[in-house]
Amino acid sequence: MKHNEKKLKKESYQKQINKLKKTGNKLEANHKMLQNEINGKNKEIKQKNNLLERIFSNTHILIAYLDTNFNFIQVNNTYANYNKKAIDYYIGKNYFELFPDKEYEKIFKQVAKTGKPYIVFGEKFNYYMNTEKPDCTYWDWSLHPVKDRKKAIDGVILTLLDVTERVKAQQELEEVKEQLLQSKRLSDLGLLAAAVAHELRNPLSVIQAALYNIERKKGNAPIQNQLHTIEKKIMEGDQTISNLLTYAKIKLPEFKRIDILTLLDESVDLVKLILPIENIQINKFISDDFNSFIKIDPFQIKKVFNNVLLNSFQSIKKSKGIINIHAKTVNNVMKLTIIDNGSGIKKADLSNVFNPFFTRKSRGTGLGLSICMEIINLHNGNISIDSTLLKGTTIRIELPYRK
Amino acid sequence: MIKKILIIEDDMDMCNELNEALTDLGYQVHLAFDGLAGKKIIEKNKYDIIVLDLKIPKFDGYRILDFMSKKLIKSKVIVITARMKIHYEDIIRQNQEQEENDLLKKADSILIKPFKIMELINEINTC
Repeated sequence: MKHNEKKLKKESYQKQINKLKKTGNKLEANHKMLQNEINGKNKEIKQKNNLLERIFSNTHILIAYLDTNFNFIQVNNTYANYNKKAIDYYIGKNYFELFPDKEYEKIFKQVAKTGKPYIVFGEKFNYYMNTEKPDCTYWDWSLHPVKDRKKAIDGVILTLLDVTERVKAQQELEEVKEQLLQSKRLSDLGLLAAAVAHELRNPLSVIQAALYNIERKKGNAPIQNQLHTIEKKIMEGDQTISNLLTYAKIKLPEFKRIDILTLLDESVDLVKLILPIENIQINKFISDDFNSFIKIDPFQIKKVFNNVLLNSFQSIKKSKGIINIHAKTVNNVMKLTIIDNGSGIKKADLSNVFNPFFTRKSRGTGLGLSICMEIINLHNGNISIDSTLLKGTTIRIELPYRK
Repeated sequence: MIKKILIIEDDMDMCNELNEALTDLGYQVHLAFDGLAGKKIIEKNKYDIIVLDLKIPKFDGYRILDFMSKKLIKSKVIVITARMKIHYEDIIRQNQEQEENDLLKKADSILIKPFKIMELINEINTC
């Protein structure tokens, strides 16, 4: 019995040993597989690290990784090289001990606290100054929070990009632009002086001639004509001065809600008074949906109407002059079109008519349409011209309705 | 011999004043209010003196000077002008300025507005 029992036990042990051996082999195989897998993963990680390391080091952007107390954890070569230091010089040191600045410390703390990144373009830096670099440098820089798995902020990434050359180039460009504007202003002033001189000398020469005739007639012949002429020429000179002044300092519009058709009628009456021409017929075509009430500067817009209508009146030499005025409202914009059958404008001149001091008239400062353009622009509107020589001219004015 | 004078000037007030002054001095005065009218009158009549404004409509004073020199019209020309050298067109068309200066040399004298009428009368008398 004992023998049998022993035998049985032995067999059972043997079975268990075999089982264990099998399991052991299996485990070993598993272990090897895992080992291989780990080796593979390690290799992969190494490769990825290598890649990140390469990206980190091979960029012209300065990068520093700081902890939430702003101690350097890592910097890239570009960062270290900028101040001619080794990477190790920075690691472990505190950012604000190296570069003390209260303003930036505030910003850094803000980012670390709120987790909102901070990005600036072309900012002037003073404390990065280095004797070999230009006196003042400009930087695009950013501070991004780094979060751990639990989304808690455990560091910040500082990136800096030297854009001094770009900013300097921009500044030079701005200076050149300013100089151009300045020289344009000077040449405009020269033209202004010439226009004033020309337009005032004409009436003055007439006054001079009238004075000669008065002097001659002293005491005997009537001098009523001369006195009348002098008065008229003084008015002319005054008109010239007023036009030039209007151009030189057109003010911002003072908006008032008015009926534009009333304003237009006033303007027509005034122009008829200045140029009493009998043979001009004025027709108005008002569309049904036209809203004549609009917020504009009445003085300025009347000036526009005066100038446009004066041009039309002066250009009409035919036996039957016709001026058609169309008015409609489209998409919250008032559209006025003034069409005359006057002498029209040469194609070559058409692009110049809005330029100050351009004129083909024997008298006139060449400011009329320039003033119109300035005023309509100040109203955020639009004015355009279309003309055919000997057939007539069309002026289109668009004014937005405002609340 | 009564001197015949043509005034080409677009400012009618100026024309009237000059007309009155010169007629009273015994000159025979004709008037033209634009360049084209002036040109037509010059073609038909002979004048001793032409008083010419430069900036006149339709056919400017420079073209009158050019026309007269081409047609060999021998009248004396007194240019009256308020024009200075700087002018919008002079700036965009420098070449034309040279041309105009050359034409201006064909005038016998130039008076810059506002001139004294005695200056004009002196010029007329010396012609």
